[in-house]
Amino acid sequence: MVIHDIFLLSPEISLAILAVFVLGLRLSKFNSRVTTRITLIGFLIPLIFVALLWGEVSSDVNLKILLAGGNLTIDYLALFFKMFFLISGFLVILAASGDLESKKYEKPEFYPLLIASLIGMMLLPSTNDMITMYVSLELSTLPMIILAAFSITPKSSEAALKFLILSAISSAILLYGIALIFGYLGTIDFAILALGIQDAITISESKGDIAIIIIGMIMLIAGFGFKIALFPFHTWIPDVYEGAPLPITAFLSVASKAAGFAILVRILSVSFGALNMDWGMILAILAVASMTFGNMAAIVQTNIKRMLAYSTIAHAGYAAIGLAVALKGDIGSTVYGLEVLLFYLIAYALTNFGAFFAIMAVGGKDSMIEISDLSGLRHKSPWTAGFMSLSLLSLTGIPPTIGFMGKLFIFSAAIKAGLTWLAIIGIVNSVVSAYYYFKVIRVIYTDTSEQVNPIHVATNLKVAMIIATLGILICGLRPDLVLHFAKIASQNIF
Amino acid sequence: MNGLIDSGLMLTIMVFFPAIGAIFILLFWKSKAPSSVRQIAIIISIIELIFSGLICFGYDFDKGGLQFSHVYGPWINSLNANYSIGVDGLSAPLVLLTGLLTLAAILSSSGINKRVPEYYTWMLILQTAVMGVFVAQDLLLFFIYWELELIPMYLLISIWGTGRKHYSAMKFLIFTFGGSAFMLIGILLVYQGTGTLDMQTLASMDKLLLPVATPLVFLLFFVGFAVKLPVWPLHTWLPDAHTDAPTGVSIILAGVLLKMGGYGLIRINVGIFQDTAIDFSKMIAILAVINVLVGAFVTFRQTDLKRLIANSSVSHMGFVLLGISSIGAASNEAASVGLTGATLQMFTHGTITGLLFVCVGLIYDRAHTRHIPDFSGLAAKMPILAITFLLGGLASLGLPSTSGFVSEIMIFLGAFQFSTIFTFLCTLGVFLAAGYILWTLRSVLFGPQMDRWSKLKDINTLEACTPMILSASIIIIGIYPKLLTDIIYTGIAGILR
Repeated sequence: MVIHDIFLLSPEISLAILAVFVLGLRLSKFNSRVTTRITLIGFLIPLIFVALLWGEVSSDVNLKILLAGGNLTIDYLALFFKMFFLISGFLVILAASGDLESKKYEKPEFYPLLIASLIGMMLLPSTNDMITMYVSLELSTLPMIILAAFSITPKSSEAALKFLILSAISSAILLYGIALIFGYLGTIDFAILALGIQDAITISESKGDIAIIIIGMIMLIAGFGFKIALFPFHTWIPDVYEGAPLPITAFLSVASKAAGFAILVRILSVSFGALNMDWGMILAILAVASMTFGNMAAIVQTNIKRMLAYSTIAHAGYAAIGLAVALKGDIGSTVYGLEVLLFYLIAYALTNFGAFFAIMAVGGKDSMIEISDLSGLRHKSPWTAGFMSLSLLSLTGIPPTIGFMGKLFIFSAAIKAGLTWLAIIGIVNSVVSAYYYFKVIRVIYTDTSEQVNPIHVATNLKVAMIIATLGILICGLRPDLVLHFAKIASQNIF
Repeated sequence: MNGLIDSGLMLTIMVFFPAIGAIFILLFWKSKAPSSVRQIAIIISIIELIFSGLICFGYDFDKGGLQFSHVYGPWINSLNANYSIGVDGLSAPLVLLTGLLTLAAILSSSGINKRVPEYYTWMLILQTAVMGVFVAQDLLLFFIYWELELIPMYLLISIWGTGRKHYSAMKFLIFTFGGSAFMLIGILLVYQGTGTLDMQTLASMDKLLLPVATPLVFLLFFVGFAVKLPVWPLHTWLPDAHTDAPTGVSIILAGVLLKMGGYGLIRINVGIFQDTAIDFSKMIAILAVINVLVGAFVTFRQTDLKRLIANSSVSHMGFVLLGISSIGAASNEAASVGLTGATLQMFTHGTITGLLFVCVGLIYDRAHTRHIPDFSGLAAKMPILAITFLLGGLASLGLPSTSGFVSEIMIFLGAFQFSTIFTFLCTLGVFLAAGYILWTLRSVLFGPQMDRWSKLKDINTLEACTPMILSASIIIIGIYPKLLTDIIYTGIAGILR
């Protein structure tokens, strides 16, 4: 039994071992390039374990395995996210190791901290009660705060401090919400919560009695909204993204956001579905606010990192449309909404990685990349210019990229669920966003300079860019390759 | 050959051949001399023209229906979308037009002297996108090709354009992208209601069960195409984009890209939403009148040659709208004459405007100005150019024995049986066109000779190729329109129920 439990947790355990091993190697002054290679190869082990677990789950009768006394669940959805985080982490480390511009990522603690955060994220979608959830959440956030300060510039320190304070506040709100719910229902287990809420509804005469649960719920949404960076919980995003080292910004913008969505899906659909409240509507409104605010604010940015920061707020809004569909109430739209949300997260991840990796290739001081600095990129590195432009097209949602397919599925899900107005607002927002994304493409391609020294892009970073680009194109032409897994993952969440 | 056609690969090859050529240029020919890149691009577009000619004239109009078709699926399961292409009588002439005008555009791009390989790459990718729009038989595939055309066009205008090129390119992008956003909502609503995206299946449905009112979906598509055609008041991007684009790109813009709008209106708004289109035919006719008259009056005030031609396009596209409005006519016969005329008008306007832009481009290359009052008596210095310019102008105002006359008369014959008053108002547009065209020709080509232009040289044989090809097609269609009308008529008959 113990062996089996260890097997079920093997992805996380093997990652933890990898983190400690890499830290040990580097502390004993082992060659940093070899260590990087070991780290990258080491990622294969948890990946294989996740694949094995996928087989294990498919042979289970309930398609769901409980472990650690019911505190953790292994099902398709959890495994889908584990795979997602592992690949994200792998790509970020691959890209960061190629950044020859600065030696700072070669400090011993860089990879281990990143891996620690990854472990927290991988546990998050498996969690089955609120305390495990909270611990995983903190495990994923705290290393990121340290990493945000890694550039040792005033901007970077400022970013880390802001990140620390705001995430502390959001954790406090989250904990207070958990406390309220526990105080009223006397349980922290997600499944029992659902039953408790149903009882509370039948016992209580008026709706006022369950007001406390609703307040607690809204606090939970606020806490996770911070992670996802939904408007109005987005205020930390631009500063932190601008100040943090580029690989960390890339990781934050993709993995951290996905982690927030992962837990929000579980908690809202499983536990609080019984509340009979229209969570979908709340999320729809948040989605509209995020999309509109993010796009409007991105238009006026001149720093490319800040621009992408606001664009991630907008993209959180598009993804939240999927969540709004998923939380509409009936099981059909839950499955469908979740499916498109998962696909969108993959589309967004590949696209954003493509954009951030290209900026890493451009180089320069971390936070100082103005959009006008990209002028001449087509001479300095034609391939980087092409990858960057493709990522921007994918962010806009122009075929044949995965970004187009992601938005297409999101909007079609909204229309299917009867939220046509939401789809219309989303599409109009896409049109607005075309303005600032194409402005960057224009800067890249319309400069008049002829002689610029080519820049050297490290092999690892090139490989990372090529993987992202191939993903964008292949999944843009054959979305079913990925949609297939999203479908399986979304079907058995209850 | 027959095996190739039966397998349906022929059309796929035709669509992707320019894009493959473009990638070839970018990968292997980039460092070669610009003239050699140009030759390769010309060879690619000649082969593509042969392909499109084979498709257009290989279309068996006795048999009718969809030919050269190929379906590969399922492509996207959850949207029931397939890779489905085919040619019918409506798309065949437009495929030929695209082949013809891309060659013309590439031939008249000799003035491009910076970033030559990239220029031809984008040009050829643009051709693939447009070809794809005309042959796609699946709504999602249609939309993807439709959007794909944005990227090359945006870059072509903003890199190689003149004047306020960045502004114009962005305006073009936002307008078109905005219009297609409406279309995308329409497509998703259609899918939601019917569960299919196949155009032929949708067109054969008696009643579309849509989640919202059918007229609303009709209008969503209409707006998307109206931006492209362009229909007043969504036309403001057109003069800017046409004026600031380089000559070759203006030819493609006016000659081919506008036709995507007209094609979409006939294929989807008339083909799929036929009952709604009949209800809306009055509105379409009113818009046609506004387009024709407003376009013509605005054209009168232009002093820039390119802007003048661009604005006259707005007026001429109004005739396409008028032809489409004849769907409301009581007899099927009138409707098919009107729609055939509209389709032919798209073809002829493509060749005529293409010819006019080529001529203006040639003049501009020599004179470095397009300001009409600056010119006078050019005919004496440039007789060959003057003849082709004259021919293009006369065809544009619909002189008999040119193709412009045939298409306009067919439109009027069809629309007259639907609405006498609107048709009458639109015929005023012909008079106005005669006014501004003749005025322009007179002040540019004739009149006293100016010392300033005494050193102008006439075009050489090589440069004369493009105007000659386009002039030939104008005259051939003008004298023997049956060449195309038979094919178009078959297509329209398949679309009308």
